[in-house]
Amino acid sequence: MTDTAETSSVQERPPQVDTGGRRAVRRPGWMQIAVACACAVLGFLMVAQVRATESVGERLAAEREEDLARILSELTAQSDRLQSEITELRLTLVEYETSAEAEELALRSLERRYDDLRVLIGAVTAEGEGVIFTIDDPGRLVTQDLLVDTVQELRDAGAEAIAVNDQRLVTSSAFSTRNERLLLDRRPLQPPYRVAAIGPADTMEVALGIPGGAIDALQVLPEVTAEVEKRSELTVPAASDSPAFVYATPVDPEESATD
Amino acid sequence: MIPLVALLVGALIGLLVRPEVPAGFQPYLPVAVVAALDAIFGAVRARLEGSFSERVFLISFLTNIVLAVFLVYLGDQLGVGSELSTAVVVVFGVRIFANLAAVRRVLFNA
Repeated sequence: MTDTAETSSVQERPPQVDTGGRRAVRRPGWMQIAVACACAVLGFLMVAQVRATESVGERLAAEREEDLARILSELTAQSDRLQSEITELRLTLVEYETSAEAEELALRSLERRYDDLRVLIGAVTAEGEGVIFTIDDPGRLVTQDLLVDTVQELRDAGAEAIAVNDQRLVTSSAFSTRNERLLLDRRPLQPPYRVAAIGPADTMEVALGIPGGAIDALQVLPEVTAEVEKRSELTVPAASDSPAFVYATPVDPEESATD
Repeated sequence: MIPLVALLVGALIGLLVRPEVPAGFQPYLPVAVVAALDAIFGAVRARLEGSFSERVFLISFLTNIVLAVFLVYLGDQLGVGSELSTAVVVVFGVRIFANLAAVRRVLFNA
């Protein structure tokens, strides 16, 4: 500890310092002001410390022993309750995180399904690998049956989107014949027929070329030529008009389950 | 007289301002107060014995506070903060008692 030096052993003081108290009354120098400031600081610190001690101690000191025990048990119970609340909230958080993940998965599969359905009904232009099957028929000898067979062959081989002369085939599409002219969905088809199919190119090429298959059946006819061309990148246009169903309405999965 | 008034003024300011002691300073304020009290009582004794010097008082006031706080801080760093703070309070308490005894001797010749 420091020696404060205001002890009786320190006597060698100049006379004017010895009478510091009276001097302070006559003309307070900066030393006196500094001493006063130090005293003021001490007063301030003391009050601050006493107040800081009081703020906690005051309340508890006033309580009786049984009250203190009650306060303690209350605080313990409160702490327990808060602890269990923390646990509960953590569990809820984990639940939410899990369900959020599940929802995201469901959303992704729904998006995937949505894309598939849009391709299926021809609502959008589709692209991907596939084949272009060109049937030249100057004599207009190819019948609707042969075209249906060709389309069937392609679908069987895994074709996902098909267009004939840039006209998209959808689920409700139909070939027909009027005045010996082929129609697709009531629009006349002009030869050469260019069938573009997106799907596994190799499989579809093989499927069209099997003996007695589409190519054979077509090339039996005079002047008819049929060629398959594989494409790594192929575009099939969207259907010009979307189907507007009148008779069929969807049934909820739950309803159909109770039927 | 002036120091006593200043002490009261400081206490009054403290009562009016209602200072919040920062949490980081809470362990050091008590020892600072005790160290300052020691300086004050030393000054009272020196004054009565006729050897008072403002310069010595100011230096002892400041060094007491700084050293006490520093010691407790050091104790905190070493993990014996509360023990060292007790030691500081005990030492300053003994000194305050010694100073008060000297004051008593001068005032009452006993």
